[in-house]
Amino acid sequence: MNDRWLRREFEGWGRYRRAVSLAAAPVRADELPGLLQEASAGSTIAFGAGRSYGDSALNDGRRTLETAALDRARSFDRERGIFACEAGISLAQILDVIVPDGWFLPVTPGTRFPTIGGCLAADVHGKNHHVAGSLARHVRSFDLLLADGATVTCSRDENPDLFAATAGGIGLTGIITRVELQLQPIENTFMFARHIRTGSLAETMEMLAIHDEEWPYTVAWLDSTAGGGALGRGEVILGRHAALADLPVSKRARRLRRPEPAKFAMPVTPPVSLVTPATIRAFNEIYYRRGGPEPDRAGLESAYRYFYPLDAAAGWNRCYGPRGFVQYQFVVPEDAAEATVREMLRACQSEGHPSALTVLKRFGDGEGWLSFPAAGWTLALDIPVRPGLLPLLDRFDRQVADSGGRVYLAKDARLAAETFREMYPDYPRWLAVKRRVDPECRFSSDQSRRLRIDDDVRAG
Amino acid sequence: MIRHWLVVGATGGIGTAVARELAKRGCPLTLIDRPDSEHTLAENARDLEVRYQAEVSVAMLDVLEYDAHARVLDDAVTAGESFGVVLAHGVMWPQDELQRDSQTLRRHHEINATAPMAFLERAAERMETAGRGQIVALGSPAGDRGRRSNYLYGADKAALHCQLEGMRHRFAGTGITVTTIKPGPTRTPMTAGMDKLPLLAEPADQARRIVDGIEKRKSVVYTPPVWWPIMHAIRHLPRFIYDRLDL
Ligand SMILES: Cc1cc2nc3c(=O)[nH]c(=O)nc-3n(C[C@H](O)[C@H](O)[C@H](O)COP(=O)(O)OP(=O)(O)OC[C@H]3O[C@@H](n4cnc5c(N)ncnc54)[C@H](O)[C@@H]3O)c2cc1C
Ligand SMILES: NC(=O)c1ccc[n+]([C@@H]2O[C@H](COP(=O)([O-])OP(=O)(O)OC[C@H]3O[C@@H](n4cnc5c(N)ncnc54)[C@H](OP(=O)(O)O)[C@@H]3O)[C@@H](O)[C@H]2O)c1
Repeated sequence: MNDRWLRREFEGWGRYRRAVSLAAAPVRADELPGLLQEASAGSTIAFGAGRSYGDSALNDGRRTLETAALDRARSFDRERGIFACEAGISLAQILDVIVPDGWFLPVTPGTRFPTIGGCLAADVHGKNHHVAGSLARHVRSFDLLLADGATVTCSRDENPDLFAATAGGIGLTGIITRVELQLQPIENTFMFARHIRTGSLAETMEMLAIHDEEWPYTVAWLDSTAGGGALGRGEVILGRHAALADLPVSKRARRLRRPEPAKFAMPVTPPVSLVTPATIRAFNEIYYRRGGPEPDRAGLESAYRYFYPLDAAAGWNRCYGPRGFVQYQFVVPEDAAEATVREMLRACQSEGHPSALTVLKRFGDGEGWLSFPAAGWTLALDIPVRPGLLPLLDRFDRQVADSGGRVYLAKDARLAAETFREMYPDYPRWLAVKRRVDPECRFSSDQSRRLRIDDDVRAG
Repeated sequence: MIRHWLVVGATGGIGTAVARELAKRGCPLTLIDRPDSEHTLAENARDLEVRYQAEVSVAMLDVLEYDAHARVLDDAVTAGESFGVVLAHGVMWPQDELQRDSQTLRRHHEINATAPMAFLERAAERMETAGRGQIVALGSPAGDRGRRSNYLYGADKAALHCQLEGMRHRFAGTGITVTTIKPGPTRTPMTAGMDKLPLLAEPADQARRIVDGIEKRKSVVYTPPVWWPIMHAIRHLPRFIYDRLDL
C-alpha cells in the first residue's frame, strides 16, 4: 500500500504524445533524493504541469517525478520584489501572492498554469522577449538536485555552467527544487494595449519591427487562412503595463487584482476533433474581424485577459479530439524570416494543414545553451494531427535548419536527432556538462531518447 | 465568518489548499496532522506566513488517538473563544483489501468515520461554551449512494454525513453552523494514479469554492457544483436501472 510509485498515464499538452510510467508525487522536496535512489539506475524525468506540448516531460515505461505538490513559497521580499519558492508552484499561484504587493512576473508564457520549474527548464519567453529576454535572465538563483543525490545552488556566479545548462535544459540536468526570482513592479493589473489590424505579412512584420522600439510587449496574431496578397495579415498587439494615471477613477480602488479562475471547462475529449479546416477558417475569419470597423484601437485591458486569453477555458486542448495537435514553433534569423514565414503559411494552406492559432514575434538575443530564443523571428503554428502532417513538418525543419534557425524543444514532439544537432550549435557545450553531472543518464525523457542525446551522453 | 480555523489533515491535498485559501482571506490558523507529517506541517506553516503573512500554529494529532482530541483542542483554542474546524483528513484504501480483511476495514472506518465523529463531538462541546462556531467536514459524493467499486469508503462518508446532518439539526437556530463538503474527484495524493477519472479538479479551485461555501455558512457544498445535479440524479435512479450501470 505504501509504494510511492504508481503506474499512470501522461500526455503532452498537444495530446499527440502519451506515455505510461511509474510516477511518484512527493509532497516535500526532501523526499526527492530517496525517490531518486529508489529509481536506482533507471531513467527519471520531472513532470511539472504538463504544459509542454510534446514529449519533453514524458518517460514511457520508465519513471516520472511529479513536482506539482512541491509548491511552497519560501520567502518574499516585498520591498525589493524578490520571491523564492519551490519549483512546482504554478505561475498562477505566484501571481496570487505577489500581485497584491504590486509585483508581476518578469517574463510570462501565454498560460499561467505551468510550474516555475517547468518554465525555467524550458527557459520560457514572453511577449516582452525583445526587451526582457527569457526567464533565466530574471532568475537570481536556483537549487538543483543532481543524479548523485546532491543538491547544488546555481546562479551566474555559483556553478555558472550548470546554470546555463539547466535554463532551457528541458529537465535533463536534474530536478530544480527551488527558484529565486526578481519580479517586476506594476502599479495595477491593467495593460494599456493597442491592436492594429494589418493587411499583409509585410505590413505585419513592419508594424512589429517599428513598435518594438517603444512597446515592451509586442506580438502578432496571424489569420492563417488568408491567401494571396492578404497572406500573413492579422493583428499586431502592443502592450505596456498601465500606469496609475491611465486608470479611470472607477478602476483605481481595486487596481491590483488577483487572477480569476477559468470560466469554462472542456471536461471530456470529443470523439472527433472540433478543430477542422472548416472551423479553423471560420474562427480565423471571425477573429480577424473582431475589432469591428476600427483597424487601430487602443485601451485598457485586464492583464490576465491580455497575457492568458486561452486560460479562460480549462482543458481546451481536448477540442482537438483523440489525435491531438502539434505546436510547431521555430525561430529564424532576421534575413530569412519573411520568406520562411511566407512559405510555411502557404504550404500549410496548400497541403491542407491549416494552423488554428498562429503567432508571430520578433525576439531579442538568447540565453542558455539549449534555450530556444535567439535573435530573429519566431512563428508558432497549432496544427491538428492528420495524415500527411509529419512529412510537411520535416520539410519545415529542413528549411529552418538551413536558415540557421531552430525549433522549440518544449513544443516539439517529432524533431529528428540529426536536425536537432544542426539547430542547437551550443549543444556540445551543454553535453559536456551533462556528461559531468549525469554520466549514466539517469535524467532522460522520451524526447532525449528520440533526439539521441542519451546515446551521446553514454558514448562520452 | 469565524476567524480562527483548525484544519485537520492540513498536509493533505485538499487540506493544504483549504488552509491557503483561509489564510488568504486573513484567518489565523492551526494546522493539524499526524506526527509523521510534522516536518511537512512546519513547511506548510512557513508557506502560509510567506504567502499571506498569516498567523499560523501547528499541532500533531493522529485522529485515532481519541484521548488526545480534547488536549489538542484545548491547546489550540482558548476557553470561550469561537473557532471553526475543517476536517480534511481521510484515507481511501483499495476496496478489494477492505472487502477481504476485517482489520483493514475497521481501521479505515475508524480513520474516516468513528474517530472524526468523536473529534467533532469534542469540538462541538467547546463551541457550545463559546455560543458560536463552525463545523466543516469533507464528505464525498461516494457517500450519497453505494457503488460496487467503493461502497466501503462510501459507507464511512455516509456515516459522517449523517452525523453532520444531525449536528445541523441539533444546532439549528444557534450560532453554530455545520457544513458538509462533497468534492468531486480532485487531484491529490488520494487520487494519484487514478488517471481514468474524469477531469480532476485542482485543489486550489476546490478550496476557493469550499471556503466560499464556508463564508456563506452553507449546509452542503458540492464542488464543482455540477456534482449536485449528477448526484441528485444518481440518488433517484430506480434500482433496476442503477444496478445495470457500470459506475
Ligand atoms: C497555452 C500555452 C501557451 C504557452 N505559451 C508559451 C510562451 O508564450 N512562451 C514559452 O516559452 N512557452 C509557452 N508555453 C510552453 C510552456 O510554458 C512550457 O512548455 C513550460 O515548460 C511548461 O511548464 P510545465 O510546468 O507545464 O512543465 P512540463 O510540461 O511538465 O515539463 C516541461 C519540461 O520541464 C521539465 N521540468 C518540469 N519541472 C522541472 C523541475 N522541477 N526541474 C527540472 N525540470 C523540470 C520537464 O522535465 C520537461 O522537460 C505555452 C504552453 C501553453 C500550453
Ligand atoms: N481527492 C478527492 O478526489 C476527494 C473526493 C471526495 C472527498 N475527498 C475527501 O477529502 C478529504 C481530503 O482528501 P485529500 O484528497 O486531500 O487526501 P490526501 O491528500 O490523501 O490527504 C489526507 C490527509 O489526511 C491525513 N490523515 C490520514 N490518516 C490520518 C489520521 N489517522 N490522523 C490524522 N490525519 C490523517 C493524511 O496525513 P498523512 O499525510 O500524514 O498520511 C493527509 O494529510 C478526505 O476526507 C477525502 O475522503 C477527497
